[in-house]
Amino acid sequence: MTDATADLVHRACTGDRSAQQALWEEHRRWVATILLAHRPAGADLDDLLQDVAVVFVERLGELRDATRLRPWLRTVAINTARTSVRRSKVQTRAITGLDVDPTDPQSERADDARAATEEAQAALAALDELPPDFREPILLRSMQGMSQQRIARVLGVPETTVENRLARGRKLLARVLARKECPK
Amino acid sequence: MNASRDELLISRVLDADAAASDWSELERMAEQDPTVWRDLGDSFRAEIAVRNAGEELLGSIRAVELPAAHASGYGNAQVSHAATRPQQATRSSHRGRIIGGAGWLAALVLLCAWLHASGATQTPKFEDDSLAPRRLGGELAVAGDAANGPANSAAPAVAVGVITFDDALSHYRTSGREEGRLVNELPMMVVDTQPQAGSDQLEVLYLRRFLERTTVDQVYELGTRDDGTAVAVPVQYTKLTDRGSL
Repeated sequence: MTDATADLVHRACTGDRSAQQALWEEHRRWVATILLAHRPAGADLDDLLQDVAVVFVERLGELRDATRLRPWLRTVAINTARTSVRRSKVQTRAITGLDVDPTDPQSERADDARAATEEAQAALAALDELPPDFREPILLRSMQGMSQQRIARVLGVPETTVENRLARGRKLLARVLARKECPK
Repeated sequence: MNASRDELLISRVLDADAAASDWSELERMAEQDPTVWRDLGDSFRAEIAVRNAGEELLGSIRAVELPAAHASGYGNAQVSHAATRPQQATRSSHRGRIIGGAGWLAALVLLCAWLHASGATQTPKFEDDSLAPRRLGGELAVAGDAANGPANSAAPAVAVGVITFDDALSHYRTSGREEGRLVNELPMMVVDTQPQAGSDQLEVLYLRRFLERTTVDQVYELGTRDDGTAVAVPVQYTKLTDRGSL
């Protein structure tokens, strides 16, 4: 971590709004990738990211070591993804109460889903079938372009473990996708 | 669980990290078992699909901004309760998506421009007979508006007091369908829900969507003059159909 980055994190921790904004913009995609790796199937990524943004502002002052920003953000993201299970159940109840069918072909959400390409949807669905231990390194490598060394630092595991999880996970992912294309 | 040798080699190829010796080893494996090439192809396809999915999904998250916070000094910030609770922040992001989608904004601008240009917004309330208070039944109490005056003797300008929200909505549906202005009512869209503190109830924010029809001589859209002032610009019919709105 450079001195400039460390200074930015320090200012953000002490409540500097512009520093917080800069940090958030720098790490937003990365946080989204972590959420994607740990979210319950079907959970809305924007909603989860918004929740992390709130925690980021509220709790950043607790960070004492600037070099721990990414591990801290990862922990926040994982906790947010896990607690979202309970909230999604609440939302389902509310929607049922209003007699609104979220799968209604005329609903905006259904439109959003249709707008996504089939291949991308299939890839995301296949990723959901992988264990998180495999999913996270794949997403960090393929979506964030992180090196195995950096992924190892973030996950707190040896680099060889990351290489193994990537290799095994990719094979599993390819199999799942192939199975979805040819169910037989 | 350790990956097999062929899985490691394929993964290195995907990462463009494969050395010449890795390629040679992979080729030797493929000579013994040609399905290695198929595995490599499948893995490439999966990798590309994941990257595309990431671009599609992560490309849409720029709208997720930090919530506002009160000055906090050193230590934890206090996120503004009024504007940035998670549910409300979420609500904002949903609103953005709703407003941004499907040409609704264009339709709204065009409608507003037409209303403005036609002077419809300057006339007293209930000028449209379908919404006139006199049609709402005997329980309705109406009062004239001294400042604007009634639109006509039978339709005073302002209705006050006793009409309920549900009554008004029901009347809107009934008379709208009778007169052909209300074409359809689309399913309600839930924007957000959040538990109510201290009770088992939920607050639900939802959007009603009505499809209406009207006939006009000319449709306008808002344009801007060189000096920055707004101006209503007539819209050609072909241009309208191209847009898919209205």
